[in-house]
This record gives sequence, structure tokens and C-alpha cells, in this order.
Amino acid sequence: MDFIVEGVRQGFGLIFGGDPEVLNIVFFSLKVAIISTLASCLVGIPLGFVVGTSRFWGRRAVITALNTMLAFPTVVIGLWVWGALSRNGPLGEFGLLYSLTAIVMAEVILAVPIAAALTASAVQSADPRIRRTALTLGAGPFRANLAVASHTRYAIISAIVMAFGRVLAEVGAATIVGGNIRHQTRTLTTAVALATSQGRFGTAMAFGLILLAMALTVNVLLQIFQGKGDA
Amino acid sequence: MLSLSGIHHEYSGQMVVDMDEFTLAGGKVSALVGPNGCGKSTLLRIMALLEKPDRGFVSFRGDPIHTERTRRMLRGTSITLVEQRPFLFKGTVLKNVQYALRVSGCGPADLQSKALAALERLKISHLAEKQVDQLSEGEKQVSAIARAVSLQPDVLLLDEPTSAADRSTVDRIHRVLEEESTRGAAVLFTSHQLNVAFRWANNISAMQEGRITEAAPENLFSCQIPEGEPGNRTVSLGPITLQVVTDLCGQRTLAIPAKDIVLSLSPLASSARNQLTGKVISIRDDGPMGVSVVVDTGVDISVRITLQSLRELHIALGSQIILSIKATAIQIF
Repeated sequence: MDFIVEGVRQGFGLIFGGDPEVLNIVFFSLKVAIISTLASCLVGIPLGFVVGTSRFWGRRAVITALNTMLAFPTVVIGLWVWGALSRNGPLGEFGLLYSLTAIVMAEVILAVPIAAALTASAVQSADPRIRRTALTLGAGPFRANLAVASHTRYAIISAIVMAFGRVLAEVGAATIVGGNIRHQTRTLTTAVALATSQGRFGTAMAFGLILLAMALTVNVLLQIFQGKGDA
Repeated sequence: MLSLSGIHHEYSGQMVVDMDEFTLAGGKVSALVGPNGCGKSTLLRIMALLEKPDRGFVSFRGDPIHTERTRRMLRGTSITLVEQRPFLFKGTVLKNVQYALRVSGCGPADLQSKALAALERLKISHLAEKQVDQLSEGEKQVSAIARAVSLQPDVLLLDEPTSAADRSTVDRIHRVLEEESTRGAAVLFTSHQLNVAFRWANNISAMQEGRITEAAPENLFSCQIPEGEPGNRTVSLGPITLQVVTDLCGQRTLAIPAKDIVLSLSPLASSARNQLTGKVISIRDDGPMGVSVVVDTGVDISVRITLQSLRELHIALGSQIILSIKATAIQIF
């Protein structure tokens, strides 16, 4: 029990002491999470709109695929991306393996289904009169979708927050394609795994506490937006 | 202005609209009456180009509409719909009208004045800055109508426009719809209230089980249908009684399509369950539509026949004549 208390104490010391390595890892993790979330939402939200509002052949298959990918093991995604980026892979010539780009690619694949599936669900459950009203007043499909987005914005923001949370907490894919290289591709989650395996419990605890604080922030934001959506 | 040809539409294999021809003329107010679930709202959405029929097509000014691009271009300033429970976007009533004007291409310079003018037409300027979630259902309905008429559409479709409105609002809506038709617009509204349909419309159509029948206003009657087993019922219309087939009961509207009545000089041995004797009190030549004969059977019933039939039966004012009507031809809604 003492070592846990000592670990927590060390953790707080590292956080509030402004340890440069800890800060470096925190900023890198945030960078990965923000870029990945933005990229995944740029793809996932429009995809969710198409799936949620259009009727096309294979739509159910797309919905099933998105829902399946929500529960996809992250190490499998990591493995696919690693295969694609490795020297003999189709994208090997670009030398992207063990870089920020590689981690972002894996995280985007993980987060797109979240953004798309939750957006599709929000749009599908939106009042159908919103879209019909916009269309009958002369709006084109894009403007009609904007009207729907405006009325489901809290649900869509929730989707963005969920995608951010997923990316931030992910460890498997980041380890495989990022390589957990110090000062280069080390994220909070991979740093926790490494520090634990090296017996540096205090350091691991520091990263863990930061992750917990971030997860708490994300969930508080989620609650706020979901509450606004319900109001 | 707007016409439908061979429209057939289903939901999950269930037919909801099935009709050969239906036309809306510019400068006229038309009413569509029918029971709940008879397909009126679906028909309006098809006419508003919001839903594509499974078969058939909609034409605007004689041109069939086949492409999504054309549908998109016509929605708004050419054809617009006000739903029974209209949706107002979050914000103020004024913002809602401005939204409609903006998406239909109105420049920012005219936005405010045109929006306020539309609200003034419906006498709801005082609601301009009110948030839509603070409006009553009636206020929402009239605000949505103001939003639609701000576009000055060629075809204005309204689904039960007075269902939540109070008396004074109903009169205001009536006046605005008349102004729209005077401007040249084709106006079509659905209603459960026959008195509203009679008062407002130049022509009335009845809809039942997805099909439209031309129900001449003179052949629409209010009646009380007694409780009982669905099927053959006897309905009293003042001095006459009619056999009808329906599963409805209570206070209802009865329609006898003028073209489904057979005239003869003597009783017919036929399957028609209703035979009424009466005296011809009016004959009107409707040109290519045939001849409209009004027979006093105790209640006045209008019958549409061809000019050839009129001549062969020697029908003249005062002639004694027999009307044969199938129980299944009489519509109850």
C-alpha cells in the first residue's frame, strides 16, 4: 500500500514540479489528440450526415461496419497501419513509421467511426421536419444539413468529445505505429505502460493522474453538452 | 400550374397515394378533405417535391419534374409547403422569416423589410422578436404561414392550416390565402372542417384511402352514422336514407361523386343499393366536362352526365327522374 501512496506523492511532485519530460509528453499527447480528432471529425461528421440522411444501396452495411469499428481492438488498427507504413508496405516509401503522422493515421481510423456513428445517430433521431422545412423554403441539401446540424449541435459536439476521449486514452495502436520513442512519439498512455514495466511507479502514476484529469474534463464537457441537448 | 400524373406511392408495401390525374390551377384556392391517414399529408409532400413518388410524376407549368436539380430549383419560391405541425427554427419569428427569404435568394438589403411585411400581412408583427419556443401552437402555425407567404410562391400548399388557430387568426389566414390566389398563386389546403373548405375554396376534392375523387361541394353532406358492425349502414340525410359501406361511425361527412350516379327514367334492376326519385331543378352545360344536372330528391343531388345521355333520356327541367347510387360509391370521411 505504501508504494501506491508514495507513487501518488511522486506523481504530484512531477506534475507540479514542471518536469520537462512530463510536460513534453503531455503536450505531444494533446497534439496527437487534437490533430486526430480534427481530422477524424472532418471525415466522420460529413460521413455521419450522409449515412443519417440519405437512402442509398448498402446503407445498412455501412452502418453495421461503423458500429463494428466502434468496438474494434486498437492493436489490430495499429497492426494494419504498421503494415501499410512499414518498409515493405504500400506506403513504406514515405518513411512515416514511428512518427507523429503514423500515430495520427491510426488514431483517425479509430476515431472516424465514433464521429460518424454518433453523428448519424444524432441526425437520424433529429426531428424530420427540420430538414423538410429547410428544403421546402428553398434551401439546398447542404443548407438543409446545416439546419439539422444546428439543431443537433450538442449531440454532434458530444461525438467530437467522445472521439477526443477515445484518441487520448488509446495505447495499443500508438505503441505499435509510434514506437514509444522518447522525445518523439511518446504519449501519455505509452509512457504509463513503459514506466510501469520499468518499475518507475511514481512516474507512471504522474502520467496516470494527468490522464485521469483529462478524462474527467472530457466527461464533464460531455455531460454539459448532453445536458444542453436534452434541455 | 401543378399537376400530378399516375402517382402511386407506398410505405412498407402499403399503398398511401394512388391517383391518375390531379391538377392545381393558378389563381384558385383548392381544398382537399379526407379522414386522418387517408394520404393527404403524403400527397402534399409529393406535390411539394419533398418526397419522390414510387411511380408517376409531378409537372410544374406543364414541364414534368424528373431530376433532383429541378426539384431543388422549384422548392421555395415556386412551391412551398406549410406542415400541420410546422417546424420553426430556434431563434425569433423574424429570424425564421428572414431565413426563408435568405435561402431563396433575397439580398440582405431587403431581408428585414420583406420579413416584417410578411409578418404584418398576418398581423403578427408583435411576435417578430419573440423566441419560437415561447409561442403557442396557433402562433407557430400563423408564423409558419407568414414565413411561407414571404416567398410569394407560385404554389402554396398548407396542411390543416387552421387546426390550432383561433377564430380571428382563421380569418386572417383566410384573407391572406385569398390575396395569394388573387396574385395568381395556386393555393391548396387540407382540412377536416368542411365549413372552412366550403367558405375558402373554389373547388373541393375528397381523398379516401389514397385516392382522390372529385366531390362536388353540393354532394357533400354532414351525417350521423350510428354505432354498429362495420359494413352496410343506413344513413339518414333529412328526408332520404342511403345505404353506405363503411367502418366509421359518429359525426361524419358523406360524399357522393357526381359522376358515379346513374340517371334513368324507370327503376333499374341493378346492384345499386340506393334508388332515389326526384325532380330535375337545374341543368348546366359544363362544356367538355359534360352536363351537371341537379335533382331534388328531398335533398339536392348533383349528377354529371354526358350531353348525349341528356338528349336520349329527354331530361328537362321538372322531369321526374330516378337516381341509382351504389353503396360502395358513397364515401364517408
